[in-house]
Amino acid sequence: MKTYVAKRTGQMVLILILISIFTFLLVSFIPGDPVYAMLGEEVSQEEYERVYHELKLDQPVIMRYFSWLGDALQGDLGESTQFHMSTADVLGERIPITLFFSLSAFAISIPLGILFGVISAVYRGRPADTIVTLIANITACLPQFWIGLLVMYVFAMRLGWLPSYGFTWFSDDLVMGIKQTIMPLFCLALGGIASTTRQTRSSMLEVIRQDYVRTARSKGLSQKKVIFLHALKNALIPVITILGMRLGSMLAGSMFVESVFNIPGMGSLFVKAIQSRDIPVVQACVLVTALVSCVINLLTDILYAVVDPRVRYE
Amino acid sequence: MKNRERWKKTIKTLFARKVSLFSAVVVALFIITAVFASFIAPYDPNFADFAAYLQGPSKAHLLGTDNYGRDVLSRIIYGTRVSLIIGVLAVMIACAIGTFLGMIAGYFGGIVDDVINRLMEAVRAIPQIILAMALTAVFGSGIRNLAIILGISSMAGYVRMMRGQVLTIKQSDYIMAGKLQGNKNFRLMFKHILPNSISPIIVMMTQQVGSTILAEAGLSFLGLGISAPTASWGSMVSEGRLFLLQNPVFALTPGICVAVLVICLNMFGDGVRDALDPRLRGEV
Repeated sequence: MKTYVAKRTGQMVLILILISIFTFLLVSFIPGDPVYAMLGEEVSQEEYERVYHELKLDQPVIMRYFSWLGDALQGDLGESTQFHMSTADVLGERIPITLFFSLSAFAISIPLGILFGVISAVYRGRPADTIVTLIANITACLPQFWIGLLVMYVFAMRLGWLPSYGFTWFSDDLVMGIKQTIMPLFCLALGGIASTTRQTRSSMLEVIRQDYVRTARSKGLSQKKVIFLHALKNALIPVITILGMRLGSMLAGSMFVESVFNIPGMGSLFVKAIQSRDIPVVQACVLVTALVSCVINLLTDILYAVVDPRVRYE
Repeated sequence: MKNRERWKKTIKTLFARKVSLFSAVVVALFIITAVFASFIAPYDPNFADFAAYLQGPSKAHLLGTDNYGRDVLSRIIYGTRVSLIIGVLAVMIACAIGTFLGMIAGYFGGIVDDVINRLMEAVRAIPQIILAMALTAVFGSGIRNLAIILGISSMAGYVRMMRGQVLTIKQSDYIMAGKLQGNKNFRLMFKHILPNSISPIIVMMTQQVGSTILAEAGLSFLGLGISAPTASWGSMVSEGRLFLLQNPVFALTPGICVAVLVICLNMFGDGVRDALDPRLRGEV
């Protein structure tokens, strides 16, 4: 087990290094002069010199990468060109908000998705299954931003039950915070519920056909015990493997939800940074997202190895 | 001859299912709309009639008008073009690069395999839409760039699939025979391995078009995809959301179009997958 964890961690570090090279090179990919690309054509000579020197464009690319990486590892990701403050400070306020939404949506959608998946697999072919599958298939194809606008139109504009945008931490104003969180969280969780449902359903159907489930039934165990103690345990293994991807898609989905509901998180920051070509912030957002999804992937891989010992000996 | 019969049978199985037939018809309607947009659309999509801005649905404007007085229906019809072109182009690019990389990774193995694998793992570690967004920051948007960007950000799946295919096919006797005959590596790859992996490639491509269209709509919604004045579904939703109260139809219908097209594409993709699977066709 220890060697497995060490091996996977090593692979993750390698992947993160590759990603850091890619993110670093984003600046060099920009056609034309990177200083002009970042600051626009109307910069003064001094400003140009300063940024040119700051980007270390007078040094070879490998040296630049290592000094950039060294700074990044110490939490210095350069200065945001639109806010004129350090990128780490800009991100620091926003990452918790995005993590709050992604993780809560994740925590809501996984158990619900598993529950619906089990229901539709157990009642295969009956109305309950048809309804669950149909809803899951349709929701998986609906653009998240569209669902956001729809619920916003209905619940905020028509009915006036909920505020249509904004974000407040629960610790500042509990009632307002909850009111503002309901719609974004719903939109974000919906897609996760749909895909977890589909995944659980198909792996449950696979498992239910196995001999040991029939044995469990024939020795007289109740349906509940067969499903939850015997079948579900094994059916969840493929579901675990995609947990990492789920969280990644939550982080991505958070961008749309933040943009629709005007939430000051990392997603809306990322969009703004791209529009204004604020490359340090773009780089930082990509790195943070990659880091979070890599760590989650590592954790799910370890979890996977714990529940399925075969993986460890590969 | 035998090959031809098999394709015929596949197509017959595909359209024997009502769901596949229905979704194929809907997708065909979208394609026809896209091709003949200029004949179908009642107005010029960019003609701004400022006297008639933000009107609700009426006889003159079936879906009302937007904030510049442009006809929403005509813009949706033209938007079909953008979505389909980008969807199909991006999938073709992803497939071409991904299949090639997967093929050489699986065929040569060793260091080539390792390098390609690690690179693809890195690509997969960044969520697709975030990777695409970072690339738009660099390459800019527009139809051609978006197709390339979405293609690059979704190619990892093809690499993995094709690599697996090659690893299986490589073991077969006919590849060994081909090698003994003195065929060159690339000839073996393109003449023998590629044609034998054609069905998983087709399945993957049909299933990817929908998600690519969804991604394009998302990018355009965020203002990073197709920019004004070109009509695209995502950017229409984005423009329309400021006027939800005045004309909700303006913001909400393009989203419905995305959903219907993507659902039908996915159902059709599932149909293709089942039709190409000999186990499900009852042959094995």
